[in-house]
Order: sequence, then structure tokens, then C-alpha cells
Amino acid sequence: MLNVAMAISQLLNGLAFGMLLFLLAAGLSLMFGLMGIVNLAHGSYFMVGAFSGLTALEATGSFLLAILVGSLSGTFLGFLTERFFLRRVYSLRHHEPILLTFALSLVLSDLSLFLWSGTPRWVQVPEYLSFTLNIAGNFYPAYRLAIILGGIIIFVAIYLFQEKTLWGAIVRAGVDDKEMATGLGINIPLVFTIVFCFGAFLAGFGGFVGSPILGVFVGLDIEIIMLALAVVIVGGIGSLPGCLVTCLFLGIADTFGKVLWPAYSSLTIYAILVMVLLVRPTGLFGKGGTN
Amino acid sequence: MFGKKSQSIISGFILLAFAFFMSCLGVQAQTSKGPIKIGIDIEMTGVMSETSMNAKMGYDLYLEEIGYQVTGRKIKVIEYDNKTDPKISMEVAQKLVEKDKAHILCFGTNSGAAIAVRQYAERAKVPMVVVAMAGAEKVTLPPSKYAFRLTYADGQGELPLGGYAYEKLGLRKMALMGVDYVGSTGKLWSFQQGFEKAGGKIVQTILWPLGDMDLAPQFARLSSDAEGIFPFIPGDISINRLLNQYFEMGLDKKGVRLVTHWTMTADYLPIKTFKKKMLGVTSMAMYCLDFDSPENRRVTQLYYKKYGKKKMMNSDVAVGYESMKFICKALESIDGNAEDTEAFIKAMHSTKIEGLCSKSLSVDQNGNVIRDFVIRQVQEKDGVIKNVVLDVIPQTHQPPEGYTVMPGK
Repeated sequence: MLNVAMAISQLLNGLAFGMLLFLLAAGLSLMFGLMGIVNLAHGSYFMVGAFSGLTALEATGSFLLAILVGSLSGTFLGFLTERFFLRRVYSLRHHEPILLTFALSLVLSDLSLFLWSGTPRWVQVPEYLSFTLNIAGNFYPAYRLAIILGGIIIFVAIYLFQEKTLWGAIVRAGVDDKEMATGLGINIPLVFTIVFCFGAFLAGFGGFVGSPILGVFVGLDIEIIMLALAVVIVGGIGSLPGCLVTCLFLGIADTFGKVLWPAYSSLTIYAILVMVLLVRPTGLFGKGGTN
Repeated sequence: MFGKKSQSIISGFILLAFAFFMSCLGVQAQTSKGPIKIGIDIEMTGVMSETSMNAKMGYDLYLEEIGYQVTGRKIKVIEYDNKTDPKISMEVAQKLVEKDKAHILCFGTNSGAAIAVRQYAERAKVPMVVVAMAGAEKVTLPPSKYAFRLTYADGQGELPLGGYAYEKLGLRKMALMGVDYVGSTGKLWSFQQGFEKAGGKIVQTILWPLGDMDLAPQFARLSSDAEGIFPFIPGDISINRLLNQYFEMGLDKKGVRLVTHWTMTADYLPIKTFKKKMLGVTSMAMYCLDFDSPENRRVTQLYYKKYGKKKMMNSDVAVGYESMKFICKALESIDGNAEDTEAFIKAMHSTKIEGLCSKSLSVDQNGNVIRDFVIRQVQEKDGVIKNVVLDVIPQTHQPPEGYTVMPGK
């Protein structure tokens, strides 16, 4: 049923889907790790990134410019969320930030409906990536290979930044112990804002890059945030490599689930989630604590 | 005293006066009855609202054309949004019948809800007419005295399309792809019946659960023996996803043909989105903008005059228009006496109208429409990429009971 050529194709499909998850979940995981906030508006940055990128693409015809516009619109929304809303509720630390970001996601969804209407839209892959490659006898779309490659580059860049630069050390310090970092004179509110904006940038980027596969429509935010939350729960917080491995694992598991047990495939990711919660509540790569 | 000529004039005058008096009495009688109440239980919001609101544009267009009256009696339309929720559909149906005293109950798109409302209409003894979509066979099978569907039944188009794919498109081995739920598997199974009866072979059936975000793994499973695919998936987002991933996997370039349901080749969305990539995709439909008939040209002109060119004339609008025309013609044949349910039901069975792309529309003993289906293909014609008519399958019927139920589903 599953020959080698098909297995390779499905593995690549899983990797591409996993990379899209990584672009979305890396930011969410960082925000959660640093600020302890579950940002339910994160899916909205993904959706708005897709819509704004599409608008830019239609206006200019440039796919690269559209990626930039999508990413920046995510960043801008992230900045507004952190600076004008979340800062007011950091001290509360209970359900308020979750409720606040949930409310923001509803507002952004309605705003998107108003601006871009309810008609689903689609982004066409640029001509230079619109071809297939013959891999072990199966045709495979070049665009998905580009997503895998792009995801690897982004991961390496973030990893080097986090591990090899002073700013990266500051972020790590903030994740490990905010009070101590503040005591050492680090401007934690500024770090919060920058990390939040960066996470939103990745979401906006992923939203547009993923739009030729997932489409652009109001409701994409809800579809995608559920998966991102699953990644954060399964992977645990605070580890970028952990987040990547989790995304790829879930992407591959989901894809093979669709092939091997199609009737129950929608349960694959959530079955893994339940098992992880039962066996290791801090997540596969979590740094401790059961919160 | 009077000459013969004068006598004739006086007799004629008396006759005219009598006729005028009688017609006044008739109008007075119609007026005293109040308007004909048509209650409409429809999806104004929710996932099926696009189809239903298109159908609404169609029936509004017809009602406006006849000035909201039949044989001098006013028509009052009472509409409520069922929010694409079967529970609300039932509440709306009850409200329309019990509170608003609707003479005729019209229904929108949602098959599941239509089956439930049909049972209620039977109990309440009110004629129910489906005016948008509702494919499932249980809407009209087993037959109900009170249920009518003027749109189509699952299999009505897919069955002949299967035969057409073998005989005219030259396909011998095909795969079926779709969502694993009754509204989809019914269509796939009907197509399979038509294709295999003609001599073709279905080499693979690929099903997946509703809400799948990435369909590439499904396409990667496709057998290399398949010369063509018959896919069906509901919802605009999912349709675009499926088409996109078919193109993305290079299946069009490999020569794997796409033969499908009309919603997958609608001019206003998939063709607008994928443009030239859609060339060659073949579908069956109740409607085609390119169909050359005086009625289609006339109604299309009316449509653009009323609604402008922002949205293309489409199948759902056509079906909404035809359905309301059918109801009104039936009412006309009983002098607008909507209170006489038995007479209205009888009239529905004897009414025959001209459709936009169908020489005639009538209903069978089950209350399901008998209509022509169009086989269309996306082609570039006059510099525009659009569906053009390849063939017409005349006077299609609903397949027999069980014919659209995939074994094990």
C-alpha cells in the first residue's frame, strides 16, 4: 500500500506541513515561554498576514514584496497587541490575558471580514516555483520544497541569534528567570515587546507563505491556532529546537495518519496531545513546571 | 323598437358589463382572502449561505417580474434566516406555518435540515418546496405527498456524467476523491454507477474526513492507473484547496483529467481564481451561462439589470428563479387559491415550465424535478475563460432509492 516512492512523497508533505506549523508555533512558544501568556490572537496575525500579503501581491505582482508586507502586518498587529493591551494585564496573570487575546482575535476576524469580505481567496505560487520535481518516480511541487528549505534557514538564523548573540542571551535569561534578569538591569518590558513582535512577524510570514496551500479566508485563524496550541502543549515551552522537532513530528504523523488510517486521521495530532499530557505534562521538550 | 344592429350592440354591452361585474367580484373575493403567503426557511448566514443567497436573488427576480402577484392576488414572502443550523430550520418552519400561516413552505440548501423539515411539513399538511439545493435522496424518497424539490437529487447529474466520461471523453479508468460524508459519497457512488455501467473501471476511491487542511497527502496516494478523477468536496474554501493541490501536484500536466460537479467549476470562483489552469475541466450542471436559449438570455439580462455585474449570473440564481416560476405557475393554474392545498399539490404535478437551460421542467411522482442537465467544459471562447456547453442530457430523473448510497456509508 505504501511503496518507497509514495513514502518519500508523504514524508516531504509532512515536513512541509510541519515547517508551516513551526513558523506559526515558534512565535507562540517564545511568547508563552517569556511572558507566560497564551496568545489566542496569534492565529489572527497568520490570517491578516495572508490577507495583507495577497493585497500587496494583487497591487504589485511581486511575491517577495507580498511576503514582506504580510510579515510586517503581523509585526504591526503584534506590536499593537503587546504595547496597548497586554501590558495592562501582565500583572493579573490569570484568565484575563487569555480572555483579552480571545476578544482581540474576534475583533480582528470581523475587521478582516469587513476589509476583505467573506469570499475565500487564493494565492498563486509564483511562476519560478510553479513546477514539479521528479523525486523517486513521483512528482513533487517545488514550492513545498522551498517551504522546507525556507523553514530550515529561518530556524538556523533564530537558533544562532538566540545562542550566539547578546540579545539572544537576554531573551534566554528572560525565559529562565525574569526577576533575576530585571535585577541585572535588563529592560524586560522592551524584551517582551521585541519578542512579541518577532513572534507576530513569523506568524505573518507563515500566513502568506502558507496561503498557496491553505488558502486565504476568514476563519483560517481559528483553524490554525488549534494546531499551534497543540504544538506548544506537545513540545513544551522555552526550547526552539524542541518546537521544531515537535512541529516536524506532528506534521509527519498527521500526514501518515491520512494515508494509513484516513477515516480517523483528524484525530492523529490530538491523540498524540492526549498521550503527552498523560505521560509528560510539561511537554516533550519542556523545561519543567506543570503550569 | 330596436333594429337588429342595435340589439346586438345592447347585448354586447350587457355581456361586457356582466363580465366586468363578475371580474370585480373575483378580485374582491381574492382580496378578501388576503395575500398568498410563501414562507421561506433559508440560509442567510453560515456555511451554506452563499448558495442560498444566490437562489434568493433568483426567486426575488422572478417575483419582481410578475409584480408579486398571481391572477390578481398579491404574494407575500415571509423569510427567516435558519443560519445553516438544522435546529433553527425546524423552529423557522414551525414559526412560518403556525404563526405566519404560510400557505407554502419553501426551503433552502441544507439536506440534513430539509429531511427534518419535510417530516414536519407532512405532519402539518403544508406543501414544502426546495428552491435552492438539497441533494440527499431522502428529501423526496420515499415519496411524500407534500414534498417537492425543483433543484436536483444526488445522482441526477452524476449518473449520466459517468456514462459521458466513458463514452464521449474516452476515459476508461478513473479514481473517485471526496470527503467522507453522505453529501459527497452519494455523488461519488452515482458517478461510479454511471461510469461502470458504460464499461469503465473505478480503480481507487480516496476519502478523507471533513475539515482536512492539506490535501497533498491524498493526491500523493492517487493510483498511477487513473486517467481521470471525479472529485467532490463541499464549500468554496475546500473546493479551491482541492483544485489548487491537483494543479500543484502537476496532475493536469500529467494528463490526469478532472470530471466533476458544477460547484467545482463555477465561473465566479474557481475559474476566477485558477484561470487558464482550469481549461479542459469538464462538469455537469443545471445551468451554463454560455447556454444559448432565449430564456437564458432574457433572464440573464434581467439579472444584470437588477443586480449589476459585480457577481456573475450562476446556477443557484437560475435554480431560484426557475423554482419560484414553477410555484407561481402552479398557483396560477388554480387561480391563486393557495388555501386549497390538495389543488395546489395536484397543480404542482401537472405544471410544466421552460427552464433557462432546460427545454422543460416538471416533477415526477415523487415530487422531484425532471430536467435537462448540461455537460460543460472550461474553454477559452471569445477571449474569455468560461464554461461552454459540450452536450445536453435531456430530461434526467432522480435515480431509484438506494442508488446514491455508497456501500458501507
